[in-house]
Order: sequence, then structure tokens, then C-alpha cells
Amino acid sequence: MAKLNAVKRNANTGKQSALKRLRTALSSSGITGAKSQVSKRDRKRGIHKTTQKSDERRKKLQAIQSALNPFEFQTNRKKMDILGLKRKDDVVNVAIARQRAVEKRKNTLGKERQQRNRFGGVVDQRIGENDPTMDPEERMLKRFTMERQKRQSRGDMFNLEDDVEGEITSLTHFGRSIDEIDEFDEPAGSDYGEDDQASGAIGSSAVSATHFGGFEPAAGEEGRKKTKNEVMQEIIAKSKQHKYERQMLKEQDDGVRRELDDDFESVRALLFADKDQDDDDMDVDNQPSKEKLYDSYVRDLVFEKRGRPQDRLKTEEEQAREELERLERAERHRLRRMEGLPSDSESDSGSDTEMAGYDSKKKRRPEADDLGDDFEPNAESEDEINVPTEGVDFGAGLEAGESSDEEDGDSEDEEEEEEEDDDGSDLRESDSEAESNEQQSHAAARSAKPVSNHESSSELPFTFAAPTDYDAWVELVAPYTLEQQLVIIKRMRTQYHIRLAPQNKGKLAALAVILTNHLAVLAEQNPPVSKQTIDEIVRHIGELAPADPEQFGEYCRELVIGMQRRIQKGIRQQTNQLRASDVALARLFVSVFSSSDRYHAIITPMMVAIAQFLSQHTFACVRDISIGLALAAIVHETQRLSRRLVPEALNFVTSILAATVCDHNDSHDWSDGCVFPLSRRQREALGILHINTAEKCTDVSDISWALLVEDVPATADIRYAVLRACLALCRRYVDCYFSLSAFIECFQPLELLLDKVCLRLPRFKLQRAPDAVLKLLEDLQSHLADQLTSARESRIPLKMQYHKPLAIASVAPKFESSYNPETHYDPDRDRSEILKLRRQVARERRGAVRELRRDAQFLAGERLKEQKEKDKSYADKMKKAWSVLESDQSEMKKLDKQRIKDRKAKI
Amino acid sequence: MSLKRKHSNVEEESSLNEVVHKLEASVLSSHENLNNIVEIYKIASGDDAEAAFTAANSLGRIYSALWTKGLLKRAKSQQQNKDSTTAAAKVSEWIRENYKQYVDLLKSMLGNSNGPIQIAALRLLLQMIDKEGQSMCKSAGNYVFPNDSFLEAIEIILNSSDSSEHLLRTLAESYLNAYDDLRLYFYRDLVKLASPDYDPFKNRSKRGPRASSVQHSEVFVQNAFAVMNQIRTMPKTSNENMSLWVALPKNSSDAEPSVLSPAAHTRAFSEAWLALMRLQLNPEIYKQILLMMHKRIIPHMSDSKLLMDFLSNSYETGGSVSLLALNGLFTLITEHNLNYPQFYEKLYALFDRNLFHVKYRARFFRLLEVFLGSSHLPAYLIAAFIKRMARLALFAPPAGIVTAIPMIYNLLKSHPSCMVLIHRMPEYDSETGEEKVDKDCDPFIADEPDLSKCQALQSSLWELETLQHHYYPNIATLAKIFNEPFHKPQFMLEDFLDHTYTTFFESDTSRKPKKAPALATQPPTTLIRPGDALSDFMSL
Repeated sequence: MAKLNAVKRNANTGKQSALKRLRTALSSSGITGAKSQVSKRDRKRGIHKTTQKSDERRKKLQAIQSALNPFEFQTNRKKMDILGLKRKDDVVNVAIARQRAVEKRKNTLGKERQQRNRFGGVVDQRIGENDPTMDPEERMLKRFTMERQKRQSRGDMFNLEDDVEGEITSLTHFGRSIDEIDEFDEPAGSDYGEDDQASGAIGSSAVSATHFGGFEPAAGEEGRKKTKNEVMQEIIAKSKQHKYERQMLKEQDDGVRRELDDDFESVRALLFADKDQDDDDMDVDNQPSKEKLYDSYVRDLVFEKRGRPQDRLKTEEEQAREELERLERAERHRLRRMEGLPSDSESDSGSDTEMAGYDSKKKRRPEADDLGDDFEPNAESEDEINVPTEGVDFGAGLEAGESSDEEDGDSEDEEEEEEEDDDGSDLRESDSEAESNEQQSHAAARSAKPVSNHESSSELPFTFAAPTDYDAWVELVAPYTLEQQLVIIKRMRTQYHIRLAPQNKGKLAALAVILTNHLAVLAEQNPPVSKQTIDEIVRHIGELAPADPEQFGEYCRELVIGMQRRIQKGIRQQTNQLRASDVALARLFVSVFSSSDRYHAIITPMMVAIAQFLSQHTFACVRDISIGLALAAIVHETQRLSRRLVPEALNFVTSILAATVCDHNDSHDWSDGCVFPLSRRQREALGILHINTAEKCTDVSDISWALLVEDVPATADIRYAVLRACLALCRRYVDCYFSLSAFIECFQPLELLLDKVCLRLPRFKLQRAPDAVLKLLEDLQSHLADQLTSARESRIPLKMQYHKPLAIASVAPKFESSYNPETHYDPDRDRSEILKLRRQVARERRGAVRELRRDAQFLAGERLKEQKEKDKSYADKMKKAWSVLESDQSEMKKLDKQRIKDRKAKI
Repeated sequence: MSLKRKHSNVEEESSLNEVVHKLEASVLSSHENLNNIVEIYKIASGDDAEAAFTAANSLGRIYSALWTKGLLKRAKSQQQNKDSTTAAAKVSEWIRENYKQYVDLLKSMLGNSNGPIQIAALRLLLQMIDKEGQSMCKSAGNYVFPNDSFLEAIEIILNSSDSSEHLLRTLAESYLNAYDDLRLYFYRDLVKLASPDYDPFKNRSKRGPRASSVQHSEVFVQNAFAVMNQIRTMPKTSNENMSLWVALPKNSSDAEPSVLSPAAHTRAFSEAWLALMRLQLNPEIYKQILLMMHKRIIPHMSDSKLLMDFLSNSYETGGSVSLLALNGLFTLITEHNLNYPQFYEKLYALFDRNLFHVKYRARFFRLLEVFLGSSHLPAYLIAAFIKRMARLALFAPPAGIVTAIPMIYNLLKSHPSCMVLIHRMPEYDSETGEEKVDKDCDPFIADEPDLSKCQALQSSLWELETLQHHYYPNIATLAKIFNEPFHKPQFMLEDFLDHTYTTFFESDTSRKPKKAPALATQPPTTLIRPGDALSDFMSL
């Protein structure tokens, strides 16, 4: 390359004569001149110029020759001279390139041409036969290794005829097995032991072998080979040692085995715990056939069902982490929905998998390490007797279901247990039974007779036809008590578990709908159904809803629509059309659905309906007001996490609060603190809440569920209960909305109103307001005052229009600090990609055309060559023929001449 | 049995009807049988309603015939020959006596509680008025309307609490709307009747003392309004084809009777309405009058300024009445150059806590858009309105908020100097260059009625920011526009006015959800979550 550059430089520098250039080239490469002469020293060393340097020299000469031929180099002219750009086709040696191309064509196209019109033939497939680079020896070697490998791979180990095995297992010596030459002399190492015993002195050979300077080959012995005898001795010694070790090992094993045999009885007791009795019998009967016994044990052990391999049990940490991840994912989705973003943008099936994960976690088959925490086969019978504690019996029915579909026998056992427990529960609950019967009869009178009062129905069937609608359900459960109904629900969920059959999904979804309906009916009972029963049903609904959320959601939507219709009708007719069941269902929806969502197909319409009720309804009786308060609390529950403003709820609570102390006939008195305008009718209706200072309150209690069901006349107790509820709700809302920027505007009126309430509540000795209420009020007042102060301090003016300033579009050319001409700087990526591809295509096209043209040239050349050869051979042939003929002719002529001569001569 | 009795009844009635018809035929055939009128009158005032009805009708026909024959006319000659006891005069006297009795009968029928009878009586009475009028015209030679009779009829109708809706409607639609003279005299009579010094006993010494005197009863107001409300026609220009109940005499000496001049009509209309407005109106009618004011009253008034007092008083009443008065006032201001002092202060006062809850919210906002639409209004004024509106929207129902937000947006857009309400850069101290930290950054005085003193321009609209966290997602989204650059064109307020809870609910529930509703992360285990707001005061 250096030379090439030199040549180029020369070519560039000036126009010298070819001779001059040749001379400089020769001298610079060291062919001519002083260096070219072989020095004397070299000659002395025997390095001959001819042998070593002739090759080198030839190469150099060739290079110079080719370099000096200007027609062999093609210099590609550049259109633009770009600094720093190196192209490999600056200067191309055309001759070499052309030759290379021709060679290549000869090998490919030429071959093909030769092969045309030929079919069949024998292909030599011997290894290396077609490879000209291999020597015959190499070929042989390769073939041999291949053969060996082939044999090795193909089941050679089973080839009995080959004696390869023998070599490995046993050593031979002169064809004899070493075992046979066992009784040779002692090994060489042990002979000094004998010496020791005999004389106390160490043998000279041993000393020389091991003592100072020992272990090193003696100076004289360096080249000496061991004698045959010595070798033999060494070998024998080694083998003996091995044998001894083997023996020792065997003895140890025997000892252990013996111990094991001795302990066998005790170990066996562990292994065959259940067959203990039989074994004892056998021991007594067949004492002599101990070995048989042992055999049978062995057989038992062999055929014993082995534990199947299982996925690794998760450690507690892993379980905890999984649960944590699931919760975190769920929370993330919820937050996204709260923002109004689709929750599934991360992964569409996210919620599904999450649900599935949830299910699988919950309904997972009991595993060995569960025993402690939630798999309690006996516990579930207890919680079916209506003693659900804390909700730790989560999915107990499900687990029963799992075990039952695994092993029928087991589940039967369990069910028998259940039955027994049911009987027991009947006895235990005889007193509560009567009560529930009362409820049930009441229920039957009030609503679609959900339960009747059959007392004798203590036996429950274990399977039930899946009810498709509520009527079917009522028919099914009519003979049973509420507690039994809960058991029925559990059994149904077990029976129609979603894993058992695909169509069970629909049945469970129907069950969820039915239970929702049932809950609505139960909520209407007076006296109310026990909390446990309601909670149990709610839990079932919550667990069943994921079976088919669409169907369940659709049903709930219809319920909400019905609720809204009734609210509207109630507003129009000024009667209350909402019932306790609506409150219960609203509460249920809030907890079953993700109520913090920004938009939710069920919760949002429900909120609109409730808001309409709270703002437009005329609350004329205690029941209305109780329902209103309950709904306001439910509204708070929906906004507990999302903290969105619900003005209607706030207005309602403030109005009710105002009603307790303000004079409903004096609109100015009302408007003082209460922001929310009420129509005169609404205001007058609320007059029933006005706390009369002459009345005395005996006890402030909770607002009971029964108040939602049936109206009662307003008494002082109820008024104080309502006041207390209002205060509690206010407190909740204050806490809920503290973060809103208009907190002050929202709650300042309430502060005024609270002052008024505080001022007007009776504080005389006799008619004193209950202390609980007063305390609540004072707490709320101070709390609200604190919150308002801190809100005032922390509030800053709005900066809603703070936008990132938009840059003005620049027209200055873009300057690249490190410009690389090989990359495209088109800002439009697609366009630059397309351009690149287009160039590539053009280049390839040009190349292909060129190649085709060269191919055609090559082929033409070949054809010409062939033709020439053919012509030449023909000409030769003709020449030969001619020459033969000519010689013949000449001979003939000669003969003729001779003959004539002869004849003449004769004559 | 009962069937039989019924049958006999029917027979009896039909026989009575036949008797009436026979008698009527005999009376009409010759004057000899005029005495039969007494017979018919007896039947008409009898207990048998059916027959009485027939009889009253037939009497009507008889008297119409008698009017045309001129037998009922109170002629001059009659006056002269008062003492002369000619046979003709006696007959005439007798007939007139009977006619009066008959008219009284009709009036009593008008006060009847039975709707159809009232209407029939009205028809017959007006028929008689027509005949009387014609005969009077004939004798007088120019157009005369027998207003005395009409006034009495109107008085009875308007004062009777039994006047059925049907009667009033018939009166308004079949007679007052159709005949210009009837309407004109109705208006005039109404003014007479409504005037406080109207003495009902002046003309009718014969009548017994009436229960209600000067103090107009609620019934009167109601009836009067009901009729007035239903009168929808009004002559615009003077033209000959006015339809008159009492036909114009052909050889009229008076070229232009007042009935034919539209000015008279307009004046009568104005006076009638003003008279009505002067009465003690109950809130319902008051609101209705205000509601129709700008469309149906103001355009026909002879002088709209006369309404000014009424409207101003209404506007100052406050509450929804003010909202309604605004519309009429607006018409006066825009079309009749009324200059209302301190209009914006009053308007500002209308922004009370009821504003977003009343029915006429949409109406009010339409007007408000016009009133505040001028870009020449000072910024402090607009800012005060915006601030007050936002403050009220905080407690408004969604429908109200949905109106307020576009309104505020439009106002901010057309008054960029108010943008500080939503975007206030901190002030810097001129000396130290540090940010001024203001402890109380809300100097707005909510109770200040004076727009220039309420300092709204120094405040910020935190209310709007809070509404971005409204529970109804559409409102929250709508409120977010204040965070975006103000590039949008102004909102068409009309699109946001007619929402209610029901429309929101239906728009939410009408479309089917695309995917299953999201369930709670943690399924519930109890109905009332321990620790939620419900558990504070309610126990299962």
C-alpha cells in the first residue's frame, strides 16, 4: 500500500519520465542500490541471496511493474471533495479486479456452462476428495476419525464382540490378569516396616529413597529405567492397598446395615403407621418367616405411592410479595380510573388477570403449608352456624368445594359433619329461631315472601337446582330459615364452582343477581334482619360479582334506573318513594364497584339520582330524613378516596342541621348560615326537626335501620339523634374536603351555622342537650375553626394559565457541530429512510446490470474460445489428413518416378 | 221499574219540549198569542233543566224576532205616551217587562255552576245584546253598543267563582278574539270594574246588596286574567273589515266610530292591563303576567313607559319575580330607551343563593349574556359578576354549574383584564425584588352590594378550581377548560341552558357501557364498612 501511495504521489507530483520513475521506484524499494547487495556478513552466515530474497524480490518487482502501468489503475474522480471522507474506490486496480471477476465467472458461470446439457453422472462423495487443499494423508486421517466417531456414537457400547471394555475394568500384565499375579512380594513401600520390626534400623534402600536428598532422582540414576521387578512391585502394592480399602469400606457398611436392622422395628413404625395393628399380629403369628415379612415390607416400600414432584412451594416472603404486587397493581388501576383514564392502558387484560389472580389465590387448592392459617376443614362447619368471626373464614365454602371435587369421599365426610353441626345449631339457636321466624313472617307479609316459617326443615339437601331468577330462589328457599339459606348459598357456590364447568359462570352470575334482590328484600324487614346475615349475603355478592361483572353490572344499572324513576316520581308527588332497600343497595354498589372512578357506569348515575333526591325532595317525615342522612353518608363513602365535591350532600346536611335550631317560618333566620336555598315547602316540612327547648332528651342513640323502614313520629330523642348524625357527617365532610381550594367558601357558612346551633341548644339543667351531642359539636367547631385557619393561611392565588411558552419557529439554518457526511440529517426520519432505500435500489440495479453485461461478455468469450478450439482442431485434423494424403501422394509419385526411372532404367 | 220510570220521564220531557215548541210557534205566528211567553218563561225558570234549556232557547228566538219587529224598542213615542194607555203601549210595556225578566233569568243562568248552561246563557245574552244594539243603531242612526247589558254580563262572569274555565275560554276565544267591538268594550268594562271607585249598585238599584264591593276578590282577578290571557288578537291598522258583533249601521252618520280606530283599541288594551296590574295580584298571576310581558303586552301598549312602574317595582321585589321582570325591563331598555339607574347593582343583587335553583334560570342567563355582553363594561363589574357567579355555582346543582362555567368562560374571554381572576402572578416588592406574600389573599367581600367595593378583581376563582373536582365527570371536564389556553371560540350558551338532573341521568344511562363495570379492588365483607361515615350514626 505504501508503495502504491508512493506511486500515486509520484504520479501527482510531476511529469517525470517513465525511466526515472522506474529507477526511483527500484531504489526506494531496495532492489537496486547499496542495500540490494548482500553483505559479507550475511554471506558468511550462509544466508544466500538467491534462496531467501528471490521470492521477495520477485514480488516487489511485480508490484513496481503493475504500479508503473498507468492503465491498470482507475482513479475515480470525486464530484465533491469532502474532507475526512475516505472511500475505498478512490483508486482501483482494474486489472486485478477484472481478473478476479473473470476467475470467479470461470468457477461459477463457466462451470455451469460446462455442465449444461448434462444429466446424471457419479458424484464423488468421499471425504476430502473434492477438496484440493488437502493432502492425501490429511484425507486419510479425516476419514479415519470420522469412522471412529461414527462407531462411537452408534450404540457401540452394546457391542459384546469388541473387547474394549476389558481394558478399562481390569489390568492385565502380559495377557494375564493382574489378579492372578496377586501373590507376589510385598509392595515396595512396606518393606522398611519389616526392617523396623526386626532391627530398629531403617534399611539402606529405604533411607536412600526417602531420607535427605531422597525423593529426588539420584544423579547417576537419571537416565536409568526402573527394572521390571520394581514396576511389578509397585503395581502389586497399589492393588493390595485398594483391596484393603475396599474391605474396610465393606465392613463399615455392614456395621451400619446391622444397626439399621436393629432399629428397623422403630423406623418401620413410622413408615407404616396405619398398619401397625396388622404388623403386630403378623409378628406374633409368623415369627419364623421374618425374611418373608421383610420382603413384603420391601414390596410395600417399592409400590408405595410416591410423592409426585411439585412446583417449588413459595416461601412466605414470595407469597407476601405477590400479594403486595397484586394489591399495588389493583391500586394503580384504581387511581388511573379515578383520573378518568382507562385502567387497561397498561395491559388490557390487566384487570382480568388480576381478578383471575385474585381468584386463584383465594380458591387455591389447600397446600401443605396452609394448615396453620386458613385451611381449616373443621372450622367451616362452625362458621356455617352463623358465627362468622372477623371474616377470616374467607371462602371457607369454596375450600370445601375444592376438596369435594378432588375426593368425593372426603367431601361426603365433611358434609356429614356439616349436617351434624346444623342439627346442633338448631338446638343452640332455639331462642333466636323464634325471633327470626317472626321476621320471616313479617317479611312474607311485606315482600315477595322470601322466607316462610317452617321450623322442621332442619335437614338440608346437599345439592340444589341453580335458580335462574328470584322467584325460583324464593320457591327454593322458602322452607328454610335465614341461617339455613346462608348454608344453601354456600353449598350452591360449592356445587356450581366456576372451575367445575364452564356454564357455571352464568349460574353464579344469576346467583349474584338473586342475592342482590334478596338483600333488597331483607333490608326491608322490620325488625331488621341481623347484621351477620346481611353481611354474609353482602360478602357472597362481593365474591360472586366477579363471575360475570357485565351481567351483574347490567342488573345493577337497571336497579339504579328504577331508583331514579322513583325519586323523580317522589319529587313530583311530594311523597317518598325511596325505601330502605334502596339505601342498602346503594351502599352495596358503593362497596362492590370501584366507586372512586371518575366515571363509572353504575356509580355515576346513582350519584346523580341521589343528588337529585337530596336537593329536590321534600323531607317530610323522620323516615325521609333518615334515608337522606344515610344516603349522604353513602355519598361520603363514594368520595372517601377521590374527594370530589358533592354540593348536594353538603347542602342537605347543612339544611338538616339548620332545621334543628332555626325557625322554619322565618326565611331570614334560615338564610343566615345556610347557603343552600330550600323551597318554602321543603323548609316547612323540615319544621318537625326543630328542637323544642321545653323537651327533654332521654338518650341519644344511633339512627336504627328500622327508621328507614317505618316512619315514627319525631321525638326529642330522634331530633337529637338526627343532630348527632348531622354533626358526624359534617365532621366527615370537613375532613374529606379539606384539600379543596375552595374549602373556605364551602365551610365558612357551616361555621356560622354551628355557632348558631351552639348558641341555641338548650343548656338548662333539666332540658339540657345530651352531653355527647354537645361534645361532638364543640369538637367539630374547634376542628373546623382550625381547618379554616390553616386553609386561609395556605391558600395562594390561582395560576391556572401557566403554560409552557411556545417557541417561535426559527428560520436560521441548523448547524451541526460534529457533522458526519455519511449520515442524513433529514429531520423527517421516514423520508430519509425512503431516500436511503431508493439509493440502495439504484445501486443494486446498476450493479446487477453491470454483472449481467459482464456475464454476457464472459459467455461470449467462452463461446469464441470454444469455436476457436474447434476450428483449430479441425484445421489440425485436416492438416494431418492432408499431410498423410500428401505424403502418400508423394510416395506414390516417388514410386511412380522410381518405377518410371526403373522402367527407363530397364529400358 | 226504574226503566219504566225513566221512560215516562223521557216521555214527559219530550212532551214538555213539544209544548215549548208549539207555544213558540204560536207566539211567532201571531201577536195574539204573546201571552204564551209567560208559559214558556215558566217552563224556562222551572226545575226541569232540559225543558228549561229548550224554553230559554225558544224565548231567545222569540225575543230576537220581537227585537227585529221593533216591539221591544223603547221609542221616544213610548216616552211621550207614557201615560197614554193605548193597547200597543201596554203590550209593549208588558213585553219589555217580560224581556227584563228573561234577561235576569239568563244572568242567573250565567252564574249557574253548570258549565254548558253558562255557555248557553252567554250565547243567548250576547244574542240579545246584538239585537238590542242593532235596534239602538237603527234608532240612533250611528253606531251604538249596548254596553250596559254587556257590562252586567261581564261583571257576573268575572265575579262568579263558578265561572268555569270552559266559559271563560268560550268568551275569550269565540267572542272576544273574533269580534273587535266585543273586545274593545270588554277592555273598557274591565277598566270600569277594576277601578277602585266602581260602585256596583249604581246602575242596579233593583239588585240585592252584593258580597264583594270595592275590594276586588281574588276570583275577579283570576277570571279577568284568565280571559285577558287568552285574548290574542289585536287590530293593527284601521281597516274596514273589522269584524263587529253589533253590525255597523249602513247609513251611519258618524264617519269613523271609535270602534274602528286602532288607537282606541290600543288604549283600551293598555288601560285594561294597567288596571289589572294595579289590582292585588297573587304570586302565580304576577309571575305569569311578567312571563308574557315582553312578548304580548309591551308590543301592544299605547305607551310602554306606563309599564315602567310596574316593572321597576317587580324588579325590586327580589327573588324569582325580579328575574321575570328583567325580561320586560330588558325590552323596555333596549327598545324603548328606558334609562334604568343602577341597573347593574340591581342585577348583581339578583345573584342570590336561589339563582341556580329556580325554574327561570335559563331565561335569566340568556338575558344576562346580553347585559354583560358589552365589552365596554368596566373590569371590576365583570369581575364581581364572575366571582359571585362562581361562588354560587359552588353550591348549585349540576345543571346550574353547567350554565355558569361557559358563561364565565365567555366573560373572561371577552374581558381579558379579568384573567387575573384565574391567573395571578405574584407581586414583587419594588425595593427588594422579593415576592410579596399576602396573608389574606381573598379580599372579596361577598355581602357588599356595591360592585365597585366588593374587590372581586383582587380575588381568585378558587371555586372554579374546586369545581374541577366535581363528582359529575362532565362538569369536572368542563371546568378544566380554564386550565387550557383561551383559544376556543366562545361557547354557545344556548347549548348549556336546558339541562336537568333527569337529562344528565338519561344521557348517562341511555348508552350501553362498552365494557364490564370495574369492581372494587377488595370485595366487601360487610354491608356497612366499619369506620365509614354511615357507621358513625347508624346501626343495622
